[in-house]
Amino acid sequence: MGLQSAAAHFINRFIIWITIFMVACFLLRLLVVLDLNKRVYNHTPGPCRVLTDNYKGTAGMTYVESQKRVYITLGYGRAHDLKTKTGIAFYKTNRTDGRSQQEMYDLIEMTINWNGYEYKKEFIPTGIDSYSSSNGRVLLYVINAHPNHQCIHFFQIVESSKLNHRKAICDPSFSSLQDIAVVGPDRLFVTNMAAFGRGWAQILEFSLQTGQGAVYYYDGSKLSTAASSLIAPTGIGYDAKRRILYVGSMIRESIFAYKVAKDTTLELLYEMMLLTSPIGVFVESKTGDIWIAAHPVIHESAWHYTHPENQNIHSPSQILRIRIQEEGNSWVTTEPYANDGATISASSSVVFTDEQMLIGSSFGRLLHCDLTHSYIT
Amino acid sequence: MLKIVLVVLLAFLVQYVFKTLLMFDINKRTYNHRPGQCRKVDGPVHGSEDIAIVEELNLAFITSGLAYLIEDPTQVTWKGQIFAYDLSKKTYKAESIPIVNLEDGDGFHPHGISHWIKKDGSVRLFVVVHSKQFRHSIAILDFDKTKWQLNHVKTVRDDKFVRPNDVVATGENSFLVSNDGGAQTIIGNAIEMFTGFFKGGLVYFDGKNSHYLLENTVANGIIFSRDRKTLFVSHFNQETIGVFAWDQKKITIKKISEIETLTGCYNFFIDNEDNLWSGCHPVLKDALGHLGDATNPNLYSQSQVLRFKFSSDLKSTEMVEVFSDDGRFTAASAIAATFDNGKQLLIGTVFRDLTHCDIDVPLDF
Repeated sequence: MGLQSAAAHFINRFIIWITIFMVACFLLRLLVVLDLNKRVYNHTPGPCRVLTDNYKGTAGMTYVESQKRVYITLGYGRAHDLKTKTGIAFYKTNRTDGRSQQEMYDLIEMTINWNGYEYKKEFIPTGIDSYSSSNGRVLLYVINAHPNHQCIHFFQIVESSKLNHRKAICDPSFSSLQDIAVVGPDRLFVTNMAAFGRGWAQILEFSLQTGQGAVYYYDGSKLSTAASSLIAPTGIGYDAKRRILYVGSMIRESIFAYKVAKDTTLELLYEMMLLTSPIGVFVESKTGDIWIAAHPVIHESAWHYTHPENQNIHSPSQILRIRIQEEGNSWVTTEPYANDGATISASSSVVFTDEQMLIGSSFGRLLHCDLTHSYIT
Repeated sequence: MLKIVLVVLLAFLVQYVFKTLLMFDINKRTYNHRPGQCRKVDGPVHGSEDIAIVEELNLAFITSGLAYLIEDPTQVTWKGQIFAYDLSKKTYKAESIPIVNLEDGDGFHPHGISHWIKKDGSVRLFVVVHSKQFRHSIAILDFDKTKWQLNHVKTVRDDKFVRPNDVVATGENSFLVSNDGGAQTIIGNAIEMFTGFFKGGLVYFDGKNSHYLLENTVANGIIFSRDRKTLFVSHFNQETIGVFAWDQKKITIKKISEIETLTGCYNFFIDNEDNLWSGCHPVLKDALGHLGDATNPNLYSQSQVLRFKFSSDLKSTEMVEVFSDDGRFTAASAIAATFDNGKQLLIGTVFRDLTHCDIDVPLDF
């Protein structure tokens, strides 16, 4: 009886101390993830200007080479209860098409023909990608981030500045859609960041780092899971030439590179630690360079996303450019842009072309920069 | 009772480990960018730790060959030198100036540097010097432009020069010296760093006597504003910059503010517009690795050049990162100085070469 009692007592204390140790380790890891010792030091790659301040969010961008246009989603802030217009606009990157200096920086808003779609008032566009077919047809694929109506919308561009709505794919597994990457006509990957859509449940999920994010694949008729158990997957970009899919992880602060097989299954090639939270991913088709729009300080981003209506609560913005070398064995990272949030807060999308760069943000401005020196150092 | 003590001890341990992890910047890295074309300057290879720009001569003086916390004097195989760099042409070549009448030529390993224009218009340099045995002194050198040499005038030694890092001149024979710690050995320095009980400070020397202005802190780079009314002190280990009002008549300082930088800034430079420039170490763990074994080419640490534009009340500042490198191009930046109306930049390193950059991007936006 005495022996059993002593053993039970010892096991009890052992369990208590193991629990305390695990809680301590969890706290340490959580505190390190919050980036309490980080900040951003401002710099620009050349002259910059604000293109628009009229929408609460310019969170998604895609570049269409054949048209020399960047398509931008507007109004993501409505998904976080901000009052704002939503829609899609484009920016012309060609500087030699005869437009005046003033017209060169205009955004052109597009009209959408919804073709009878009944949920058009619940359209909050965020992630966007495009596909140009050989016959000149340009298709746009847009993530709808509405809390009650998460969908993928299919559009076709007609008459230069009009969008024809073709169809929408909605699924109960869509809880926190973030970004989209198109690999063929009506073939696409999307990232679902978390099991909980927003609010404190999502924050708790991120804190516990349970890894309930996923990448879904749509093959034109059927939706399937391409990768699962990811920790907060966000930006996604596809390198068509090299058949590599890049997926950003906000909490791990890294980029995963997957090889896309012929049957579109994903094989993990490598993980690239960024030590900053990637939100938007843009792949330069010519060079294969990866451009990242990032949130470098997580605790400030979390605060900003919790109070998006407060103009005084900023989140730093950061743009990285990564050049892969030796088939992914090494890479060089440069930082073309960084801002503490006073100019542009919470950068979430980026496009680079012709020595110019567009930076979109979650709840605010769209920024345009000229790159005086865009070489990789 | 014992349980309570153990829980409190565990809580202390967790927060101590956390603070230490953050101090060592385990979750940080740099992302490269440059303000324009950058090139190496021929000449200094074993350090360019501090730079004094004499605008009157369009000349930069660069200290090279630092020996720091040396445990074995035979390890010091390099020579301490002062280089001169002509800022009026882009020669990308700095030449070593001979120093005449030095007491101990082999024991000359210069650290911080400052200059003073004497009444006759000639230039006097004040240099922090360590010997191979890590003894400390301040060397006063006059620049002879005609003969192109530095004439040694005097060496000042003082008990209060505990571990001098930088110097700033306040007159032909008076200066301020910063001590960046109290320990004379690597182990002692580590203890100081881990416990947070720093023994550095600020010492004023009036030509005959010395007295403390700051004690029990870390003081690295020091510099005055253009009007000589404000003193900036880099608290490297605390990752802050102290801003003090300086009274030249009373020889006193009064604290105005402390700017948190979240990066370890070394030496300072004040430009034409009274902006503060500094070479910084953003990731402390890599900086310690590199600085601890400076001759190992496989060990390098990050470089960062920051420009601080202060508010008129000197209580806040806007920071611009002008240059950033992971260390493969420029390792462990210690000083950044601009010239040519802010269009060109010199970046000095603790133990490596000198970098010269053009500034082609806007810094005010």
